[in-house]
Amino acid sequence: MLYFWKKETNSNQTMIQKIVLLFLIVGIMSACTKDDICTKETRTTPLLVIKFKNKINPLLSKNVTNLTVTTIVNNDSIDIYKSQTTDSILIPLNTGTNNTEYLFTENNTASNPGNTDNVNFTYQRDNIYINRACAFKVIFKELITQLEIVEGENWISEIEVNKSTVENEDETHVTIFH
Amino acid sequence: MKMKHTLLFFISLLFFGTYLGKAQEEKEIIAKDSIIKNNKYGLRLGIDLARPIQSIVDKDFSGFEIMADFRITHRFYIAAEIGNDTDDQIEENLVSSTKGSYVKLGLDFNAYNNWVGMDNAIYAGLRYGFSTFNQDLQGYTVYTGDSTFPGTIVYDPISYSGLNAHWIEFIFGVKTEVFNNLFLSINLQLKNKFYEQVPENFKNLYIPGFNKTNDYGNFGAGFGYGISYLIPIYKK
Repeated sequence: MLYFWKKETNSNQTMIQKIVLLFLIVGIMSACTKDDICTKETRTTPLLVIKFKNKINPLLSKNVTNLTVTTIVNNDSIDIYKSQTTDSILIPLNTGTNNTEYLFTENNTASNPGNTDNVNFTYQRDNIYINRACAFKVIFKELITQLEIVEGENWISEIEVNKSTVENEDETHVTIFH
Repeated sequence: MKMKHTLLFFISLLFFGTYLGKAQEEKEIIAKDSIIKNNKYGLRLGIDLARPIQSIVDKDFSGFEIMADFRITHRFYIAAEIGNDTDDQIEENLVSSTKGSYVKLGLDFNAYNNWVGMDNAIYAGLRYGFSTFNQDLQGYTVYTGDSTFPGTIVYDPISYSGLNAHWIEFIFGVKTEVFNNLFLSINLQLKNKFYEQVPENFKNLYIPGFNKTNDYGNFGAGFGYGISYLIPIYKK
């Protein structure tokens, strides 16, 4: 009887020890994991989608030859696109202010400065919660565009706002006719 | 012997019902064999040691918890925990702090077969958890993922008060009597929240008693180390 009793307590004790050890490991592991990273797939602040169309036939898209898109941040000019021939672009809007100024230059190459038009984008901002890792994004509302008119010099003939609320990058927000 | 017990232990976790039947048989045998009434029934009161320790180690957390259980049958205990947590969630893109109280109420089932006079437990239990809390969003970054206009930092504290959350909790643990009527325990908790008041344009990042929430589902987890004292009321 005594023999069995001893064996019994021993096996029970080792089982308790194992469980306690398991819990300690789980406890330590759960205490030091940081697993939240904002992934690239998450839809955060959207870019502005602009399509270029033919001013003569507004149904047809039209490439801009050697387009350079520039904005000024803290007195530094930053090129978003540099001498690219395209009929659609995605550009960021400033999330800290209610307007962003862009310079659109066509026929911009190393040898030719091209023709520059100045467009001002004005909007209202809403901060929207995404998740723990990415925190907040901005959606832009009441978007207005303003083309600076230089008599006889503009290559852009008209700018149309298709969506005044910029929520995602699935739709065209602005169409530029040239 | 050892194999049999290990096996029984795991089976008991999966099939409470079947094990209950077996436990009933054993109880009857014990009752026939021993005349001495040696099972202590009473109120067991204690505190969670993990929370005060974490309060010292982790400057972003402070909290305490009182735990109590009352034995109602040979294997079942009514159990409750009550506590208070303050936790700062310091993330890469936001800082938020949560403060509030919680209550957990439920039953524990002791699956461990004690020898006469022993009072240890390997237990599993179920709880209903309820918490009321306030959440302060202290600041955040507007995420752009863009290098031209990198995220603007917004320092505009917003307080969300009177929030609440409800959850169901599965608890699993071990209790050992280290001295007469003094117990040390360790437990693991798995939680599933079924209702919460979500602040507008934000989320509950931490819920007192439920702990950290996640973006992928309603699940939460926790653990506790308890020290408790049994106030014996009667023997059976």
